[in-house]
Amino acid sequence: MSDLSNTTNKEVIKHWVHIHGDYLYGWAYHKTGSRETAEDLVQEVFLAAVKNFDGFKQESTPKTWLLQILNNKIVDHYRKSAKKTLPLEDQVHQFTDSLFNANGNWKSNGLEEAWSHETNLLDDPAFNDVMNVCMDDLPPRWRLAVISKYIFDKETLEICQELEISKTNYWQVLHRAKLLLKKCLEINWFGAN
Amino acid sequence: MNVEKVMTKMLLSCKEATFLIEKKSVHRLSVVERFRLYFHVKLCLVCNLYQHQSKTIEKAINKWVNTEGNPNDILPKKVKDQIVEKITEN
Repeated sequence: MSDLSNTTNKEVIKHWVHIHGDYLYGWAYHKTGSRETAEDLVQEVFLAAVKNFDGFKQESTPKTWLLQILNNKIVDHYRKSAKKTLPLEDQVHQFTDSLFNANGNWKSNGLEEAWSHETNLLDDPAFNDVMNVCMDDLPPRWRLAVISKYIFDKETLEICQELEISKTNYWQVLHRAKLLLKKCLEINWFGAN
Repeated sequence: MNVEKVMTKMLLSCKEATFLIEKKSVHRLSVVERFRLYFHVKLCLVCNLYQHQSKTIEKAINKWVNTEGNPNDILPKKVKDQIVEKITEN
């Protein structure tokens, strides 16, 4: 790349910092729950954009391209924190186990019916705020599995390789993540309302 | 033997049943698994309700991952300037 085009690329990306920076920051903050992390990730995105400017195809919009880089950075971020937090996972695992009795059957909590009374639950902004809290509460590795599945629509095999786990393990992670979300929503939404 | 024990033995515990409900969303169940899950859910109200809850949570996750940031979340000017500076140096 010539110095001249390099300088031009940099000018383009600096312009993007001003028009897309807030959007990316908001997205990263929503997904990570930390302002500091969001700031770091957004900075990494723009620096990566300078490096890989050749990878930017004119058929995608700058915003889409930057968001794609950001989503990859978010997954990297979770992957790093996932490695550090295995003890936490054990604790949470015990918690999801405690939803069942010794035979592996539900301990009743009296909220089973409450769910079915709700219509248009997802249109309620307050419910989505609670959901945000509950997603934050997932251990990083579980959240990583959930995010890989739902943001990227990744196939099971790819997610298993990424997390270095077997298929059965992955199904277990999905199962426990679901149970934890259910419990969290019941405590913070159905039980509270 | 009480009813709960018989059911658990023949037709999965609730823990196993909910595991299969989740597994089903990403992988095809075997004939035996489908059979056992089908009857478990027929007989167990809580797991029957769980199937619906699981779908609701699924929708909520989908909504969560596609939710954009709050427009009030602004990247501080100081950080923007810092990024621009780093781009220049790089």
